[in-house]
Amino acid sequence: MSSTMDVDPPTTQMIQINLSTRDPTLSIPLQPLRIPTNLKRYGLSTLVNHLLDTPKPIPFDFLVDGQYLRTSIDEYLTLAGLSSEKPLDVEYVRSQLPPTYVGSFEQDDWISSVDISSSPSPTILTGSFNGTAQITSLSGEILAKTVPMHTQSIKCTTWISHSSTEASFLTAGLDRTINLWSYTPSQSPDTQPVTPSTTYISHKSTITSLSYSPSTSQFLSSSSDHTIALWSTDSSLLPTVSTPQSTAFTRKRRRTTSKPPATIKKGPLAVLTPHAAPVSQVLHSNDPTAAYSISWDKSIITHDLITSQPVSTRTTNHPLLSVTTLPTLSLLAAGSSARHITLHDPRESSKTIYTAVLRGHANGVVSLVNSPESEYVFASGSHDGTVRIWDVRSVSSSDGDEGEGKSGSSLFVIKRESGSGKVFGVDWSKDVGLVSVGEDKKIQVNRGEGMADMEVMDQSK
Amino acid sequence: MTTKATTRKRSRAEAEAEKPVLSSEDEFEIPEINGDEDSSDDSDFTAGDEDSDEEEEISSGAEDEEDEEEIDSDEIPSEDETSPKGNGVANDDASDDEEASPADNVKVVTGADGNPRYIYPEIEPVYDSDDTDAEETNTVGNIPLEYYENYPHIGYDINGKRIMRPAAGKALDTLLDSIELPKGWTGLVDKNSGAALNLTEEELEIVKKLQRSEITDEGFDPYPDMVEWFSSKVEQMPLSSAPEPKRRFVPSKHEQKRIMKIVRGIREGRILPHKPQAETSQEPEFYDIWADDAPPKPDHVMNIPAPKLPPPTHDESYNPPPEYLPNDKEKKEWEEQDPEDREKNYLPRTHKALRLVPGFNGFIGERFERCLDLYLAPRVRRNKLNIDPASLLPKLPSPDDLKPFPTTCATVYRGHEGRVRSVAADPTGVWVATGGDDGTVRVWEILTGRQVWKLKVSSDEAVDSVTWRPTTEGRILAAACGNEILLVVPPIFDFEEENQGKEILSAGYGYAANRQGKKEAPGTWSKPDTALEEEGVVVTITMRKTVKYIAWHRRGDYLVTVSPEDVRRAVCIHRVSTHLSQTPFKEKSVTKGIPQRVQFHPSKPLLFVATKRYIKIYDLAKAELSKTLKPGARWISSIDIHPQGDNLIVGSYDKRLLWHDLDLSTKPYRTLRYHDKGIRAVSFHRGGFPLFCSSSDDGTVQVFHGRIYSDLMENALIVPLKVLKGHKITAHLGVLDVDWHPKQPWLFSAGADGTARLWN
Repeated sequence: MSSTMDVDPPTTQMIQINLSTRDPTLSIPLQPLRIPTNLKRYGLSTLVNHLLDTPKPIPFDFLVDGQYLRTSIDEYLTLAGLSSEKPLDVEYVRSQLPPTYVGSFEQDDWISSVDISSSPSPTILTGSFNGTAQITSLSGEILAKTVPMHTQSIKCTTWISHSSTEASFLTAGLDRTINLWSYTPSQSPDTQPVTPSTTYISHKSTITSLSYSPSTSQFLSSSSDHTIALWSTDSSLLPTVSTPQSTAFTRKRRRTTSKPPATIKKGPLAVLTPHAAPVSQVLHSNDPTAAYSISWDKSIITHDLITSQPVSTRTTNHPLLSVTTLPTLSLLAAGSSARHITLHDPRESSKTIYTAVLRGHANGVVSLVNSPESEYVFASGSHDGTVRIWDVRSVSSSDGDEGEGKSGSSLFVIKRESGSGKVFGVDWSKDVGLVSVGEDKKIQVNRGEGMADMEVMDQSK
Repeated sequence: MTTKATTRKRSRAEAEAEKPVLSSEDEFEIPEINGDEDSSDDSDFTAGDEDSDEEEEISSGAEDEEDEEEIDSDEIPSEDETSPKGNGVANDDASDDEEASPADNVKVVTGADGNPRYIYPEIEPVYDSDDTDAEETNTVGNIPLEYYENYPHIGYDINGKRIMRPAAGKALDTLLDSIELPKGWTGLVDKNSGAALNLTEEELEIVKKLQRSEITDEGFDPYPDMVEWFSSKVEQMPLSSAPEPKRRFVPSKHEQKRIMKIVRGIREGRILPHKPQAETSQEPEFYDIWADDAPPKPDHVMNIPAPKLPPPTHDESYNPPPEYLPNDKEKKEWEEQDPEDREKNYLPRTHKALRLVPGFNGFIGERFERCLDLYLAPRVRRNKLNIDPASLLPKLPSPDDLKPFPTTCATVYRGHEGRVRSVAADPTGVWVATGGDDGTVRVWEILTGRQVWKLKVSSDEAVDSVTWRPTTEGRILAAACGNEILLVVPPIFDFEEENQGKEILSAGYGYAANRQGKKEAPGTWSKPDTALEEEGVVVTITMRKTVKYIAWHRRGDYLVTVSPEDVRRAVCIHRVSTHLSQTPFKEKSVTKGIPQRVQFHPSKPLLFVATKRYIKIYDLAKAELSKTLKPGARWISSIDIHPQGDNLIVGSYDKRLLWHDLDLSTKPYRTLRYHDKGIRAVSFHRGGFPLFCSSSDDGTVQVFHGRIYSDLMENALIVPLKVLKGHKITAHLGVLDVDWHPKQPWLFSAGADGTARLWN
């Protein structure tokens, strides 16, 4: 010990570090290491790769006290006011490389929602404010476009099934209806690839979100009329309803209603009305019989879909606009109109309202999506025109104005390549990358360059 | 014995010097005298001090001249001895040596009578050579001389020697003396000296004067010159015969005045004639200037206590810590400084013990300076209140504690060409409607800022006011464009709601038909043309003049409009269910002034009419004026009533935002002057948040916290929260209208820059 201390302190000061990770595939035996403090991320990454004896080096990032190490250890110690005498706990994670701009595909109106289907081929389903949905290939080719079935904007779209021969998806929006579309990919461009099959009618106001659970073949819709409707893709289970009509036909409506083909009109399996304000999003949990819904009335409600009853209500301080689950961590991330993302533990046993508050957005957070690669990472799209990538490990205790919990900041910020405009939807898949749509009428695709390496890594295992 | 001899010799010498004849006579008569002496002792008055021994010698001398000579020769040394004795030194041996030499100086001459005559040398006139003036005083005291009758002496001198009785004259002498009496002879013997007591010249003169019955006083003139008072030449009379003046008899007016003054004082009680003597004060006669603390002086404006000297500090200690001791440079600097410029009038010094501390030589000067300071420096008692100005401010809660309230611009609604005149949020909280100068009414999705519906009402006239019907059923939007009021059901809602709204609006057509032929109504209800009807307009009401403002009644059946240009029918109430318009105030004189805004009370049947200067509250049930508020503003631009109905905010073009508590007075409870330019619109939040806001031509919207307590004794709490900046000022116009989201703490503003904004 003393001999190491004597070794020329000014140039190579040593520090003891305890390396740890939460990823079991990358764990190394716990052993205290003494390393020079002038090491940076790259040096540490090399060290870990050496310890793991990986065939191909994996880039690692290092978290110290919930903060990514962006400087040398020495500078970090100086900044944090820590002594090099004390051992430092360092957590290493697979490096999340900054997603770089790949390209963007323009449409003719604002795009409200995006959903990516990876198999059999990566395709992007987008819903537009002009009332049409569009299927775009990764190369930017418009594979299909829906007929203007919706008289007003589409607000949400979701794939139900996607195979090489047949696919179906749902769209819903301002005109209070949900349409089920069937899509046959491999058709000649002359024929209509997308045909509406069923129209689901229940909501009295804008439908804000759809959530499909493949295991139960059920989907949920949330609406601004404070309700959540439970539907099934099996039309035989649903009651048939008649289309309400306006007494006075407007010219526009006459024009639109004349065109679309007749569809089956179906009512919901159940209508849930636990909220007192427009419901912003509803989301199936891991368990397909449970769902989470968030609303402008600031509450997160867990629903039991079998009984259609709310299980638990968690009230926050701000109107909530978006939600996503981090299933392995038992966490919910909720984006609020108060420009931040809060992490909640939805379990009943949890006492605290907030686990952490992530700040950085300058406007309401309207879309959240999990990372396909890491259970700790998710992305958020906001009306401030940025997409941010967050790591729930990168939170540190601080006295935020929420009074409790921890706060964190984003890993990366992706700006709109077109300059400005709100982001209305984000989706993230391994094949396509991070796709965001917004007011600039563009589908913007960003990719992290490290992803390929990880694929290789996974395959090697 | 020696003294005796000298006296005798001296008297003899004197006699020889002055009266040689007599001396011879004396010598001649000596034996006889001696003989007489023996016989009569009583007559020895005139003799000096004599001893019995001297008597013997004299007698022996008288007996034999030779003896006398011997004796005299013997006595001469003794006579010499007297001078040393007078000097206080006695030496027998010396006197023995000197005996021979003076004896040699004596010349014996045969006198005329044949007897040897001793001629002594001249006495050298040196000091102490003669003591004839030394008075011999008898020291026996006050005892009768008779006690010494049987002794040759009559007492003792100061040296304890006997004073011999003067030789008494013989009978012959007495006779001779009686024949030839000396002047002033009295025949008496001096008691002390035993000599004849004679009168002096002066005493004799007095005796003579007494004999002549004259005044013995010397200088007395028994015959002075006559002063001529009243003679033949001078006629002066020391006494006057004038009659006594009257004033001697009349009582003095002046005295009477003084007395009356006192009498008046007594009567009025100012003077107490028999006032008991004031108790002698218990204070000590002398002021104890060394007392530790002076008694506190009575509080008086002129009594300003001297400022206290600061307590001594470390460097005034006799042994200060070393850091207080000046170094050489500082010392030098201090010494070079002018005494007046010195910060301290001493240099800190260290002493080993307190007893080694020298006196402070500048003490007097320092006290003097202090006294000068106290006397000369003006001391003024200031009536300044020592109050921290911050403490006078009301304790307002921090804005952070009053969250949530709008802070940032979330959405900008772009699309209007020209100013956005009016903004109104849908009761469901999903849509927001705007009306602008381009003659369009637009409805927007709140969060995304997407325009979902647009109605072009007019190409040349502006939409001045849009407002939603404040009920949950039937989404009806009222818009004022020019002199038309449009009641619209925008086709963005559920078909049920849409149809409901249309039914509500169309229900009155039957009533309108029945009313044909009645007197002219202020507004004409009519169906819109097809183009407008297809867009959702159900009814248009055509007024005579431009409608500037629309307000709904809470139940949604009535709406009240203001058209300030129509002098007689400025305020008009429309009933949706019967398609009826009427003016509540027939005459202009009722409102007295051009109405600016009107509002229904949120719960009571009251109508608030804001004219330029006053707000009049009319009771619609009783059809009378119930109250007039006087905000004091020059030109009221807008009013809004608190959802609970007891408070009112008023915005005015003279930059003031006034809060009226209707329970308090007709004057504003609070005046808020935060805007730089005139206020265009004010609004209360109606969804449960204690918020209100004002928008102004300075391009800002200011958000306030306005909490009202259910306790009637507690006044409303008003806290300025946030200034929302974002709207650009276009042609001196800023933010023209504001409205709150019905549920959320979100604020909509309509700007002259062609945008509407959402703040959250």
